[in-house]
Amino acid sequence: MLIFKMAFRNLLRQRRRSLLTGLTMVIGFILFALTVGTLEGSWGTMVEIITRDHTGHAQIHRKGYLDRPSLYKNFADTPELYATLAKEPAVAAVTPRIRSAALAFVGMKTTGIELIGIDPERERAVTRLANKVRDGAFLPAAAAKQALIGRNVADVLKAPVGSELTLISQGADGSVANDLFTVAGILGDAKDASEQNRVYLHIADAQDYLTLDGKVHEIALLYHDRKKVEPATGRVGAAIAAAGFRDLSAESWMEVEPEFYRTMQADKKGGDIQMLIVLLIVAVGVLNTVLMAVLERTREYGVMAAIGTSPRRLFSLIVIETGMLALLSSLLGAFLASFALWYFAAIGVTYPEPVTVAGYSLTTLTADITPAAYYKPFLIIFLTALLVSMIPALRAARIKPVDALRSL
Amino acid sequence: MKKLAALLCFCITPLLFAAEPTVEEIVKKSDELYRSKTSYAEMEMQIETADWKRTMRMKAWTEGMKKTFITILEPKKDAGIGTLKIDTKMWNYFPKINKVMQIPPSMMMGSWMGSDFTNDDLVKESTLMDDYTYKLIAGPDAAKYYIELTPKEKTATVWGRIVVVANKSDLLPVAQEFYDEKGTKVRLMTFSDVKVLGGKKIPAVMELRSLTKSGNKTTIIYKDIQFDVKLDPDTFTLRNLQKQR
Repeated sequence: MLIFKMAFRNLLRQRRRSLLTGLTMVIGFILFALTVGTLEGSWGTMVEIITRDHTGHAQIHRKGYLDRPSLYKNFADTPELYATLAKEPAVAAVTPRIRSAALAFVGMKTTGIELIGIDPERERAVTRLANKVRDGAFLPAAAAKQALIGRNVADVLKAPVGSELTLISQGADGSVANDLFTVAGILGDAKDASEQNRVYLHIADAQDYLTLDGKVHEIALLYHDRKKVEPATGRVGAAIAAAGFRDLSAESWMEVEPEFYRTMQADKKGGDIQMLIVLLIVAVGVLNTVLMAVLERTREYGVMAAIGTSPRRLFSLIVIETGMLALLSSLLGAFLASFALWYFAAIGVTYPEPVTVAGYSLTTLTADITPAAYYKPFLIIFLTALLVSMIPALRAARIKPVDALRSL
Repeated sequence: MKKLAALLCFCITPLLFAAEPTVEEIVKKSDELYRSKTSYAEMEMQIETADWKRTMRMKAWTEGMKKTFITILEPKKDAGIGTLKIDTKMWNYFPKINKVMQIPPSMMMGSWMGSDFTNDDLVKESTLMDDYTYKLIAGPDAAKYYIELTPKEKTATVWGRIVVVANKSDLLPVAQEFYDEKGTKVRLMTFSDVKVLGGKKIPAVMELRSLTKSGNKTTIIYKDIQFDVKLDPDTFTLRNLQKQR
């Protein structure tokens, strides 16, 4: 125990030097915590954007639907299925959808569109589609042969709210699906490309239109925690299989939007390099101050060696001293980093130019307060400090008292 | 004397060949099986694929080979959908959206209302008689004629050749085999349930099987057919197409 007491006293003896070394570590900690926090934060924002925009955190389909979507790869969204999903603690909300393609007409103008049938009330709970309505209104809760159209569709067809929209497609019974709908609202604006060629109908209207009574193509799921998508999806998949829905499978948003996910993974690789650079800066700063602190005290170590302190003890003393300083600095760093992280998480920094990743634009840099934002910098600071202190500690342990006493 | 000989020849020739009908006759019979100067028919179309099944009831009017008018009676949601063909032009009408859509020539080989019949099959834009050259070939069954038809150079079709199989006894077609340009058999049409309808002996059931899409089958069953009926002069007009509801 004596060695710890000595180490602590050594720290207090030269307060200014300890403070300076400590400060390097504190700043390193904060820098590292912010890097981790903002990187996680921007990925988190992107995940949030994409999942709340359309995909949800996971989706249920007929097996093989994602590989080759087809009108016929549908399933019945029975009350039993919803009950099975409701029993999963991770699931916050669910919404069924129908997907197809159609030819849209308004007057003499025509364009191809992506047709999506939604349950307006349930959709509200899972995605932010309702917030995208720029003109007109969102679909009413009951089917009323109304349609929401993307901005691009509205522009191409010159269809304001209230226009009569003719849709022609293929019904699931091989018939020519044809019907009229009223444009209830227009989604997004020129900048928001995500809804461009989509037309949304009430799911009951869509089922009727495509002759898909009681059938859906997907159920989108929203979880309580977006950070636990993979284990939750695994459990949901197992639960629906156990409940007898053997031809269904649950896929996370990473599988639904593989392109976006790959882009994000590539971006994460870039983030790792960014962290490595910060790590080097912090390590060099710590090495520099610790090295100076030991070299300054060559004479002191010489005296200690002269009065019979074993080299091993001397080595431990220096390493423990640095370790204690690193621990204290980390505590202070964590405390201060919390404020910085909170600021980034709550307010964020607005980009001068929005950054667009795979069709989703980011306007502010925000941080995510995750355990990683604390334990990663702590491990890095603590381990680098220990590692770095070993070099001067070894030097001190090997010191020849006579030379050391003579040196200064 | 010369005149008499010519006259004699003219009279005797048909008698000589009466036992052995010309290939033209068989082909013509295939073409005009369900047609005459005019015709009116009620029929049922059953479509089966791996994914779905559907039965439609419809009425059809024809005039010669050039004009066809079809309107769907059932299922209810498709009631009133009509098809009009005049010469080489063809239109579909959808009452729900009150839209008449002309079928472009490129879509003539496309499916009619989801069936295995192409638009072309249904309206007979091309006739076996006029658009193909034909010759008798040997077949496995001695009681049947096998006629191979190859499209004439100017004929727009996807078939490389068609083989018409007909009974020697009554010349009624039994089957039509459709081959693509590579010589693979892709469609098989069979005729069955021969009965007298509208005073003519015809097969009441026509079944079309796709050999490329397994499980796809379309059957047309003639419930009633009348030949050489008097038709409203307005029958083959776009106005009439839009009136059928």
